[in-house]
Amino acid sequence: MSNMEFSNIVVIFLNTIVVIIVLMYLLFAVILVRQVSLMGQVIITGVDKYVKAMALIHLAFAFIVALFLINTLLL
Amino acid sequence: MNIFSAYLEKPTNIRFATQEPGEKIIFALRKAFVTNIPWIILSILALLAPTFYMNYVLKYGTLFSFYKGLELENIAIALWYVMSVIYTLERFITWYFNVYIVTDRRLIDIDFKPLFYKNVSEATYDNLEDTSFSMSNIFQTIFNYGNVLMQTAAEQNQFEFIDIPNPAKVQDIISDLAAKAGGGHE
Repeated sequence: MSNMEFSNIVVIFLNTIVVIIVLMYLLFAVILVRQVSLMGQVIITGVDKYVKAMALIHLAFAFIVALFLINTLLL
Repeated sequence: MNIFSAYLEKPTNIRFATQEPGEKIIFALRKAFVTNIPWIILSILALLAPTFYMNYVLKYGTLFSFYKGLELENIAIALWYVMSVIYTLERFITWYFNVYIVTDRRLIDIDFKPLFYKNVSEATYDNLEDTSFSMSNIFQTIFNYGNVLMQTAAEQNQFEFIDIPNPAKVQDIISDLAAKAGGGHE
Protein backbone atom coordinates (compact mmCIF):
# COMPACT_ATOMS: atom_id res chain seq x y z
CA MET A 1 0.00 0.00 0.00
CA SER A 2 1.45 3.36 -1.03
CA ASN A 3 1.70 6.32 1.32
CA MET A 4 -1.00 8.10 -0.71
CA GLU A 5 -3.47 5.22 -0.31
CA PHE A 6 -2.76 4.99 3.41
CA SER A 7 -3.22 8.74 3.76
CA ASN A 8 -6.59 8.52 1.95
CA ILE A 9 -7.77 5.74 4.26
CA VAL A 10 -6.80 7.83 7.31
CA VAL A 11 -8.66 10.84 5.87
CA ILE A 12 -11.83 8.80 5.20
CA PHE A 13 -11.63 7.22 8.67
CA LEU A 14 -11.21 10.60 10.41
CA ASN A 15 -13.99 12.19 8.35
CA THR A 16 -16.37 9.37 9.28
CA ILE A 17 -15.51 9.73 12.97
CA VAL A 18 -16.08 13.49 12.84
CA VAL A 19 -19.44 13.11 11.08
CA ILE A 20 -20.58 10.52 13.66
CA ILE A 21 -19.53 12.78 16.56
CA VAL A 22 -21.31 15.76 14.99
CA LEU A 23 -24.53 13.78 14.45
CA MET A 24 -24.41 12.50 18.05
CA TYR A 25 -23.85 16.05 19.25
CA LEU A 26 -26.89 17.29 17.32
CA LEU A 27 -28.93 14.46 18.82
CA PHE A 28 -27.69 15.43 22.29
CA ALA A 29 -28.71 19.06 21.69
CA VAL A 30 -32.20 18.07 20.53
CA ILE A 31 -32.73 15.67 23.47
CA LEU A 32 -31.50 18.36 25.85
CA VAL A 33 -34.14 20.81 24.63
CA ARG A 34 -36.82 18.12 25.02
CA GLN A 35 -35.64 17.11 28.47
CA VAL A 36 -35.42 20.67 29.74
CA SER A 37 -38.96 21.20 28.48
CA LEU A 38 -40.21 18.00 30.22
CA MET A 39 -38.41 18.77 33.48
CA GLY A 40 -39.91 22.25 33.36
CA GLN A 41 -43.29 20.54 33.80
CA VAL A 42 -42.09 18.41 36.74
CA ILE A 43 -40.78 21.34 38.73
CA ILE A 44 -41.92 24.82 37.89
CA THR A 45 -39.68 27.67 39.01
CA GLY A 46 -39.58 31.32 38.06
CA VAL A 47 -36.33 30.88 36.13
CA ASP A 48 -37.28 27.98 33.83
CA LYS A 49 -37.35 30.31 30.85
CA TYR A 50 -33.61 31.01 31.19
CA VAL A 51 -32.74 27.31 31.19
CA LYS A 52 -35.03 26.72 28.19
CA ALA A 53 -33.39 29.67 26.40
CA MET A 54 -29.96 28.22 27.19
CA ALA A 55 -30.96 24.83 25.71
CA LEU A 56 -32.28 26.50 22.54
CA ILE A 57 -29.16 28.67 22.14
CA HIS A 58 -27.10 25.50 22.57
CA LEU A 59 -29.15 23.79 19.84
CA ALA A 60 -28.43 26.73 17.50
CA PHE A 61 -24.73 26.51 18.43
CA ALA A 62 -24.78 22.77 17.68
CA PHE A 63 -26.22 23.43 14.18
CA ILE A 64 -23.57 26.08 13.48
CA VAL A 65 -20.77 23.73 14.60
CA ALA A 66 -22.24 20.89 12.52
CA LEU A 67 -22.45 23.12 9.42
CA PHE A 68 -18.89 24.37 9.97
CA LEU A 69 -17.46 20.89 10.36
CA ILE A 70 -19.36 19.32 7.47
CA ASN A 71 -18.49 22.30 5.25
CA THR A 72 -14.80 21.97 6.22
CA LEU A 73 -14.80 18.26 5.49
CA LEU A 74 -16.59 18.48 2.15
CA LEU A 75 -14.81 21.51 0.66
CA MET B 1 -34.90 33.02 43.43
CA ASN B 2 -32.12 32.93 40.92
CA ILE B 3 -30.91 30.18 38.63
CA PHE B 4 -28.07 29.20 41.00
CA SER B 5 -30.15 28.93 44.20
CA ALA B 6 -29.51 25.75 46.16
CA TYR B 7 -31.42 26.52 49.35
CA LEU B 8 -34.88 28.02 49.38
CA GLU B 9 -36.93 28.21 52.52
CA LYS B 10 -40.70 28.57 52.06
CA PRO B 11 -40.37 29.58 48.39
CA THR B 12 -43.47 31.16 46.92
CA ASN B 13 -42.61 30.92 43.23
CA ILE B 14 -41.94 27.18 42.96
CA ARG B 15 -44.47 24.44 42.21
CA PHE B 16 -44.11 20.81 41.27
CA ALA B 17 -46.22 18.56 39.05
CA THR B 18 -47.77 16.38 41.78
CA GLN B 19 -48.37 19.18 44.28
CA GLU B 20 -51.72 18.80 45.99
CA PRO B 21 -54.08 21.70 46.66
CA GLY B 22 -53.04 23.42 49.88
CA GLU B 23 -49.70 21.60 50.07
CA LYS B 24 -46.98 24.03 51.10
CA ILE B 25 -43.32 23.76 50.14
CA ILE B 26 -41.06 24.25 53.15
CA PHE B 27 -37.70 23.68 51.48
CA ALA B 28 -36.61 23.42 47.86
CA LEU B 29 -33.02 22.17 47.84
CA ARG B 30 -30.27 21.29 45.44
CA LYS B 31 -26.71 20.21 46.07
CA ALA B 32 -24.77 23.13 47.56
CA PHE B 33 -23.45 25.35 44.79
CA VAL B 34 -19.90 24.95 46.09
CA THR B 35 -20.01 21.27 45.01
CA ASN B 36 -20.04 22.56 41.40
CA ILE B 37 -16.67 24.28 41.68
CA PRO B 38 -14.52 21.30 40.51
CA TRP B 39 -16.41 20.89 37.21
CA ILE B 40 -16.64 24.66 36.71
CA ILE B 41 -12.82 24.92 36.97
CA LEU B 42 -12.43 21.93 34.66
CA SER B 43 -14.83 23.48 32.13
CA ILE B 44 -13.00 26.82 32.16
CA LEU B 45 -9.67 25.02 31.63
CA ALA B 46 -11.18 22.94 28.83
CA LEU B 47 -12.56 26.06 27.11
CA LEU B 48 -9.19 27.83 27.45
CA ALA B 49 -7.10 24.85 26.32
CA PRO B 50 -7.35 25.61 22.55
CA THR B 51 -5.88 29.09 23.23
CA PHE B 52 -2.86 27.49 24.92
CA TYR B 53 -2.63 24.99 22.09
CA MET B 54 -2.68 27.71 19.41
CA ASN B 55 0.15 29.50 21.28
CA TYR B 56 2.08 26.24 21.09
CA VAL B 57 1.35 25.95 17.35
CA LEU B 58 2.55 29.51 16.71
CA LYS B 59 5.84 28.76 18.50
CA TYR B 60 6.58 25.16 17.52
CA GLY B 61 4.29 24.31 14.60
CA THR B 62 1.33 21.99 14.21
CA LEU B 63 1.01 18.55 15.78
CA PHE B 64 -1.04 17.42 12.77
CA SER B 65 1.50 17.77 9.98
CA PHE B 66 0.69 14.23 8.76
CA TYR B 67 -2.80 15.33 7.76
CA LYS B 68 -2.21 18.00 5.14
CA GLY B 69 -4.95 19.05 2.80
CA LEU B 70 -7.63 19.39 5.47
CA GLU B 71 -7.95 21.94 8.22
CA LEU B 72 -7.52 19.33 10.89
CA GLU B 73 -6.44 21.87 13.47
CA ASN B 74 -9.77 23.70 13.12
CA ILE B 75 -11.71 20.43 13.16
CA ALA B 76 -9.89 19.22 16.28
CA ILE B 77 -10.51 22.51 18.07
CA ALA B 78 -14.19 22.56 17.08
CA LEU B 79 -14.58 18.98 18.36
CA TRP B 80 -12.78 19.92 21.56
CA TYR B 81 -15.23 22.79 22.12
CA VAL B 82 -18.13 20.43 21.40
CA MET B 83 -16.91 17.98 24.06
CA SER B 84 -16.30 20.82 26.53
CA VAL B 85 -19.78 22.28 25.99
CA ILE B 86 -21.41 18.83 26.34
CA TYR B 87 -19.53 18.23 29.59
CA THR B 88 -20.40 21.67 31.00
CA LEU B 89 -24.07 21.49 30.08
CA GLU B 90 -24.43 17.91 31.28
CA ARG B 91 -23.02 18.84 34.70
CA PHE B 92 -25.10 22.01 35.01
CA ILE B 93 -28.36 20.40 33.94
CA THR B 94 -27.76 17.44 36.27
CA TRP B 95 -27.23 19.83 39.19
CA TYR B 96 -30.14 22.09 38.23
CA PHE B 97 -32.78 19.35 37.90
CA ASN B 98 -31.77 17.22 40.89
CA VAL B 99 -34.08 18.76 43.42
CA TYR B 100 -35.14 17.78 46.92
CA ILE B 101 -38.46 19.14 48.12
CA VAL B 102 -39.73 19.15 51.67
CA THR B 103 -43.42 20.00 51.94
CA ASP B 104 -45.71 20.03 54.94
CA ARG B 105 -47.01 16.57 53.84
CA ARG B 106 -44.08 14.63 52.32
CA LEU B 107 -40.51 14.49 51.05
CA ILE B 108 -39.82 14.43 47.32
CA ASP B 109 -36.56 13.49 45.63
CA ILE B 110 -36.36 14.36 41.94
CA ASP B 111 -33.43 12.51 40.35
CA PHE B 112 -32.37 13.45 36.90
CA LYS B 113 -29.55 12.25 34.67
CA PRO B 114 -29.06 13.32 31.10
CA LEU B 115 -29.96 11.98 28.68
CA PHE B 116 -32.68 9.50 29.52
CA TYR B 117 -33.07 8.98 33.25
CA LYS B 118 -35.61 10.62 35.48
CA ASN B 119 -36.88 9.32 38.80
CA VAL B 120 -39.23 10.95 41.25
CA SER B 121 -39.56 9.29 44.65
CA GLU B 122 -41.45 10.43 47.70
CA ALA B 123 -42.01 9.51 51.31
CA THR B 124 -44.70 10.60 53.73
CA TYR B 125 -43.86 11.61 57.28
CA ASP B 126 -45.88 8.83 58.90
CA ASN B 127 -43.48 6.36 57.24
CA LEU B 128 -40.40 8.09 58.58
CA GLU B 129 -38.64 6.18 61.34
CA ASP B 130 -35.39 8.00 61.86
CA THR B 131 -33.57 11.03 60.50
CA SER B 132 -29.95 12.06 60.83
CA PHE B 133 -27.51 14.40 59.17
CA SER B 134 -23.81 14.18 58.54
CA MET B 135 -21.02 16.54 57.54
CA SER B 136 -18.09 14.29 56.90
CA ASN B 137 -15.29 16.32 55.39
CA ILE B 138 -13.54 19.64 55.80
CA PHE B 139 -15.31 21.29 52.85
CA GLN B 140 -18.72 20.32 54.20
CA THR B 141 -17.80 21.84 57.56
CA ILE B 142 -16.39 25.05 56.08
CA PHE B 143 -19.25 25.62 53.62
CA ASN B 144 -22.00 24.21 55.85
CA TYR B 145 -23.40 21.50 53.62
CA GLY B 146 -23.91 17.78 54.12
CA ASN B 147 -26.22 14.79 53.86
CA VAL B 148 -29.57 14.19 55.52
CA LEU B 149 -30.46 10.53 55.83
CA MET B 150 -34.02 9.36 56.50
CA GLN B 151 -35.02 5.79 57.29
CA THR B 152 -38.53 4.92 56.24
CA ALA B 153 -40.81 1.96 56.79
CA ALA B 154 -41.73 1.93 53.12
CA GLU B 155 -40.33 -0.36 50.43
CA GLN B 156 -37.68 2.19 49.59
CA ASN B 157 -36.28 2.21 53.11
CA GLN B 158 -33.74 4.97 52.74
CA PHE B 159 -34.16 8.50 51.59
CA GLU B 160 -31.09 10.64 51.29
CA PHE B 161 -30.61 14.32 50.54
CA ILE B 162 -26.99 14.59 49.43
CA ASP B 163 -24.73 17.63 49.85
CA ILE B 164 -27.56 20.01 50.71
CA PRO B 165 -26.88 23.39 52.34
CA ASN B 166 -27.66 23.81 56.04
CA PRO B 167 -28.36 20.09 56.75
CA ALA B 168 -28.82 20.60 60.50
CA LYS B 169 -31.80 22.90 60.04
CA VAL B 170 -33.34 20.75 57.32
CA GLN B 171 -33.00 17.61 59.44
CA ASP B 172 -34.48 19.42 62.45
CA ILE B 173 -37.56 20.57 60.51
CA ILE B 174 -38.08 17.16 58.89
CA SER B 175 -37.80 15.58 62.32
CA ASP B 176 -40.44 17.97 63.72
CA LEU B 177 -42.78 17.29 60.81
CA ALA B 178 -42.38 13.52 61.28
CA ALA B 179 -43.11 13.83 65.00
CA LYS B 180 -46.22 15.88 64.22
CA ALA B 181 -47.40 13.29 61.68
CA GLY B 182 -47.05 10.58 64.33
CA GLY B 183 -44.50 8.39 62.57
CA GLY B 184 -42.08 6.20 64.48
CA HIS B 185 -40.00 9.29 64.98
CA GLU B 186 -39.13 10.63 68.43
